[in-house]
Amino acid sequence: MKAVNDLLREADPLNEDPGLSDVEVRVMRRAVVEAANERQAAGFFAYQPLAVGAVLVLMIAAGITTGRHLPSSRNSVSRPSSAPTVAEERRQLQFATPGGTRIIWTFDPEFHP
Amino acid sequence: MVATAERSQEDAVARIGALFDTHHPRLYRLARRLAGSTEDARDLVQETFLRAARSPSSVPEGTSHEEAWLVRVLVNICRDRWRQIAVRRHHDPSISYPTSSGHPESALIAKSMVWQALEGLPPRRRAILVLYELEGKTIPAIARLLDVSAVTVRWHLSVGRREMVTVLESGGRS
Repeated sequence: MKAVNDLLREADPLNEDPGLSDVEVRVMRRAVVEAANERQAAGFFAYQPLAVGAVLVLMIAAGITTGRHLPSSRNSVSRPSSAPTVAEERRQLQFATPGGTRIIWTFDPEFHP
Repeated sequence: MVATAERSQEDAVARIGALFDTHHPRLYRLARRLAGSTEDARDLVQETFLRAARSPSSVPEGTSHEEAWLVRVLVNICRDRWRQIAVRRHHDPSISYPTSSGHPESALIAKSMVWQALEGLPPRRRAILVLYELEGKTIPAIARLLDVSAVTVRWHLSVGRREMVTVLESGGRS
């Protein structure tokens, strides 16, 4: 009996196989490249919702942090309040804008129009 | 940022194209010797490159590393298919492993028997036998290619040869 490698060489299917034709190679290559393209595109777009979500979370966190550091405007929303200081006998008008800016007007008691 | 992402996307796609151009002839030769038919060999090669296309980052850099990665993927696909058939065969013994189409002439029948004996071997053993006996690769080179030890390669070679002889002496009945 012949050695295994001789038997294999004689029976090698590549002895009669011309290999892949140019057309087969082109079709296969196109399929592979398209798969790579689809995968890359899917990967790129897959990250976009994540990025949008991350930006939203950051914006909300920044808003909360800023809000905590600003004085509350709940008690003085565009409502003028007079708060005269008895000691100095000066009259003040304080009000805050919705944005949180507080405006204080101090009336000069010596002013007589 | 978008431009950078698009450029890296183009690079990855170009790399897969280059990978295919460089390795498809050698991979087809191996696939043809491992598979039962030309169609199966074509499927194996395409599936191997599709896996590379789906995860290009897992393909290592450098021609020899790329080749080793592709060969390992191809052998693994063979093993998966072989296992699937083995499971189906367990439930239905009439199912056989894929073999070369029968040839009417006696010489071709003999060839077919040899190849049938080879196809009866587990995929890794078959790959080692093909790489050593037909492709002329050395044992250390096969060990590197398949990421196994040289001792394992020697063992598979020895057992594979013995199994083939047993099958051929019994007239191709596996």
